[in-house]
Amino acid sequence: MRIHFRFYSFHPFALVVYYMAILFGSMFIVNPVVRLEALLGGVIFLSLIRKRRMVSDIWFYLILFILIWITNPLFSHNGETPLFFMNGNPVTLEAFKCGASIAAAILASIIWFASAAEIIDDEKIVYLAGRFFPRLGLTISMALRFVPRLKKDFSACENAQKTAGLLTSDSFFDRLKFKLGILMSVSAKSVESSVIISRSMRARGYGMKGSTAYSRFFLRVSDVVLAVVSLITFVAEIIAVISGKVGIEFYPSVTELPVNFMAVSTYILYGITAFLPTIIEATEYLKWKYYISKI
Amino acid sequence: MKSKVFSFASVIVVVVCALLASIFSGGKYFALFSILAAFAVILPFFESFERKAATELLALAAVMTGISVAGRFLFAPLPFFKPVTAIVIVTGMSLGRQCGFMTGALSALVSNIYFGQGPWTPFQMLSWGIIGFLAGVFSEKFYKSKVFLYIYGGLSGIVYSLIMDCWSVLWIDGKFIPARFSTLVISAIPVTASYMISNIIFLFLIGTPLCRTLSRIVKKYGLKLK
Repeated sequence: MRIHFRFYSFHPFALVVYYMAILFGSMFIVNPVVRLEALLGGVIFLSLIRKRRMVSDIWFYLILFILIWITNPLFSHNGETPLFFMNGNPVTLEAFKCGASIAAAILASIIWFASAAEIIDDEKIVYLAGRFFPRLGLTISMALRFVPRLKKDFSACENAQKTAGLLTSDSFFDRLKFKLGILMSVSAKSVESSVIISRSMRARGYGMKGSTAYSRFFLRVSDVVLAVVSLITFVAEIIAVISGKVGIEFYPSVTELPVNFMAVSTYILYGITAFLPTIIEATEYLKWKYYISKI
Repeated sequence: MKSKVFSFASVIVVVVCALLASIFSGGKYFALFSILAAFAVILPFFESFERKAATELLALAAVMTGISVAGRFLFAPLPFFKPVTAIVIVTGMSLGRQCGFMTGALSALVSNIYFGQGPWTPFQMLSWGIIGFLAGVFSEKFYKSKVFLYIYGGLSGIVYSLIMDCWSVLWIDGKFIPARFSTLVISAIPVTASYMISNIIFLFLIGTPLCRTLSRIVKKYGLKLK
């Protein structure tokens, strides 16, 4: 369903570098411009992916944002501009501003993680794990295959036992025992079969020297470009964090927004990176629209 | 050779973590350090799995992961009852510490593919993995007396959710604010209690039979897992 996304078809390594750069920036650069870029870019891209589903999610995200924002002043009493007092503790303007910044960072990382989960799907996770740990990659891929198979087995077993009249009462404990019986019988069967699978794998020469793995992913020019752009942003972020010239301080009073060379270049680089997926999808959409023959 | 490279790499990761932590003291970059540290702890386990694990162990870890994740769907109609921790403990107990760790860690990874990945994934992997690993370490005690097993199940429920709460508090802004922590822990009490009770109930009801099933497999195929 999401296969038709251009961003989805990038190489896993390029995507991992990209998401690392985005998440690092949104979490560790304490700067309203960067956090706003992260939030906006993330929300736009996630709503491109999720379309209708995003409408209901946006309420959840809004409530989360407000919850973190409002509760920060209750726990943190630093800052020099008290707005009012609660239980003898000052509730400060700085704490409100700091809370908004923290809420933006957390929300941005949650939203980017949500889009990462859609883009870097199980197949790519298996590939990434398999490149460094081939046996681990195979284990994950087998586990991923077992889940739907076992779900099917569970429901088959459940239906069979229900038709046999084994679930008679509606009480919680009876239902629990009924489900546990299903769990036991299916797991006994599948554990046994897994050992047989492993014997069969060994008989076919799994784990012998010189065996190679098949992968569907090939590094293309566009993947390298994405990885390089993300790496440049990543390096710029690390320099920005270490130099301390880009971040702002909230306590005791909010410092001014930095506009030196390093800060502006970080804004521009991070902005490009954060809106890159949206730009790519937009160009693909325009290409699709204008390349249609008009004869 | 490869193993040396990996243990060297993980040591470097830990050292870099410590260095970074000392540079930016004040807990500002807690989230970064904690993620790096979690990976530094998980990597040696994966590495030894890569080197030592028999094909049977690989398949068993995969199927136990599958059972614990599919079990979450099976028990979905019963709220708060998730068999994952119990299955991880029984796996560690009867199939050895390595299989326990892998089942725990991969259950977290695979179930988060269905239920949502996030910055918490490495910590869930680590905590469930450690729960399985320790179950393997203490397996003798559990076999002798089932009471220990139930206590371990209950404790792992509490410690798991306390660790996750502690981590979420630190993750918010890198400062450990006791008021925030206690608010979170108090609001999470029903969930924590349900973890604890469901772990004990699961271990009580399926601990012995599942253990017997797994031990039978080990005996039948002559597996040397421990």
